Amino acid sequence: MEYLMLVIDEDDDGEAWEPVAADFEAWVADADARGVRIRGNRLAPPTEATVVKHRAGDVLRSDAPLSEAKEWVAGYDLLEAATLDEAVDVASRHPRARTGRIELYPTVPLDFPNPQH
Amino acid sequence: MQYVMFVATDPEAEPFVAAEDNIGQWAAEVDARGVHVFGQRLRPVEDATTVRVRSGELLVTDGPFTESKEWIAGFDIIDCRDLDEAIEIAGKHPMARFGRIELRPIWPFDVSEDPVEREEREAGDRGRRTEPALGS
Repeated sequence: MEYLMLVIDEDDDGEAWEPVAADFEAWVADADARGVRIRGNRLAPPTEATVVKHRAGDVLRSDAPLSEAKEWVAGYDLLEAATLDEAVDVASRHPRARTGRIELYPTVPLDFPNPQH
Repeated sequence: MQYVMFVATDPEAEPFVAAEDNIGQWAAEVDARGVHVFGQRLRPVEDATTVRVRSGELLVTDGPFTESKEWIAGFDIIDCRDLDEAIEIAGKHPMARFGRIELRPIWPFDVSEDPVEREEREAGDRGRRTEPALGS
């Protein structure tokens, strides 16, 4: 099963962020060693986000995310896990599981038998 | 520049019309241009799982943590010249019309760097837009 793992930076009930405790290196090394992590990266802060909409034939852009949430998606990883339990186990070891939360979304491949559709 | 395109639903967008969903055409174009790195549709949001660790205890819940009328239906990673090209590509995606697209530049970092030094070095980059802003 393939999962998109979204790393949410912080939650009201999460631990305070202490950079010294955030061992991303160990997490990446462990997830890579298990062969579960396909790719992943950190995302620039939400001030760098751009929202694109196509409305009535016009492409509209705005600079910030439209949602007013305090928290944001700080990074993503793509996981290939045997089961949801394995994905949860890997996600739970991520430093942001303590300060924020991790959301796992199973992917569903789209088929394009005909390029028109 | 690599961007993650979060393909999101938007209650204010026009209703989805399957017959006008040209995602196959979009995929063929971005592949032909060599700007598409990877992408995938996601299962409906009810299938999400939220993972938290609080006071050393693992908490697993079904669904996303926050209730929202908007959710991420898919994602793509694109490698573009600049933000303008990313906007052009995002604007052609059928979900720009039936939803909205959020572009987030990736922010690579060296995991072996000392985390405190990294935090100090990058402090000035937080809360400041370096991507071209509207009207600039």
